[in-house]
Order: sequence, then structure tokens, then C-alpha cells
Amino acid sequence: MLLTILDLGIQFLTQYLSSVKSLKLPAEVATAVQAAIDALFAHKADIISKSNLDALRG
Amino acid sequence: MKLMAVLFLAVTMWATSCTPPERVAYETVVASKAFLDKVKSQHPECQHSTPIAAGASSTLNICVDLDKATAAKDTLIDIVETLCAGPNFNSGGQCDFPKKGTPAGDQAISKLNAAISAYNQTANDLKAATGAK
Repeated sequence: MLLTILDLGIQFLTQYLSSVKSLKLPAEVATAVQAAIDALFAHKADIISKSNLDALRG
Repeated sequence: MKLMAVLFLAVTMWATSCTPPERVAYETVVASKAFLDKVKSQHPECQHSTPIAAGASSTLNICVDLDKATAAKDTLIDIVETLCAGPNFNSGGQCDFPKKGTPAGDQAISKLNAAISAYNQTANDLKAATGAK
């Protein structure tokens, strides 16, 4: 199966994160970056609608 | 390590050049919301109106940077909603982003890039406040 561009980007981001995690990223930032990556996976099929955008406020 | 960073940058640039700008902005918002929510959960003291009462000035810095990053993210949402406005979007459907290559499209892309840069700056300040190098 072909990887989408987003999958490829996330894959690199994940690899990059795991390589820097042990070097200088504090645990709380690393956890937050991981949460961001998980959210990208969870929302990748979203349509860009007003309700979806408004749900991301605050 | 440097090679990894260069590869990551190259892939990010390539991916963002092929992905529609409104999708890049949406993914930035999605990632930033999750990132900020996580940092907020790690700093419950920032929910109080006077975080300085909670202790050290580093705590106050984090709370201020957290507020700024959240405001920058919400500004990005405002800009995306303004640029997406159109028959579909206004009736609850998909974004009606101006066509790429048209003057309106180019102007929209530069506005989005400015808003994304503003958010990135606040996120970097927040990461620095939490101790990241």
C-alpha cells in the first residue's frame, strides 16, 4: 500500500522525536509532541469544516 | 543526528509543498491543540488567574507562553475560517479555499504562512519556557 504524504511526514516526525527524546527534549515536551503526532493520525480524515475548526478552539 | 534533522526538514518542505495550504493549516491547528492541551494538563497551576501565587517565576513564564500560544492557534483558526468562507463552508461543508495561482489564492497562502509562523514562534517560546533546548 502506498504511504500518503501525511503518513510519511508523521513517520519522519516520530523517528525524529525518538532520536532526540533521549538527548535534550524534557519529558513533558516529548509527551506533548507525542500527543500532537497522535492527534494528527486521529484527525487525518477530517474535512475542513467550520464545526471541526471550532472544536479546536481554546 | 544532523542527517536525520536535514532529512526531516526536507520531507516536511516537500510534503507541505504538495499538500493544499488549508490542509497544512488545519493539521497545524490539530497538532497544536493536542500539544497545548497536553502542556495545560501538566501545568494545572496555569488555570488560576494568578499563577504567580503558585510559586516560581518560571511557572509564570510557562503560563504566559501557554496563553500566547493558545491565542496564536485561535487566530490561525479565525484566518482559516475567513479564507475558507464560501457556499460549501458557510453551510457546514468543506472549505472553499481560493484557487492556487490566482491573486486571491496567493494572498490567502501568504496570510496562512504568516499565521503559522506566528504560532510556531509562540510554540517555540513555550518549549523554551518548559526547558527544551
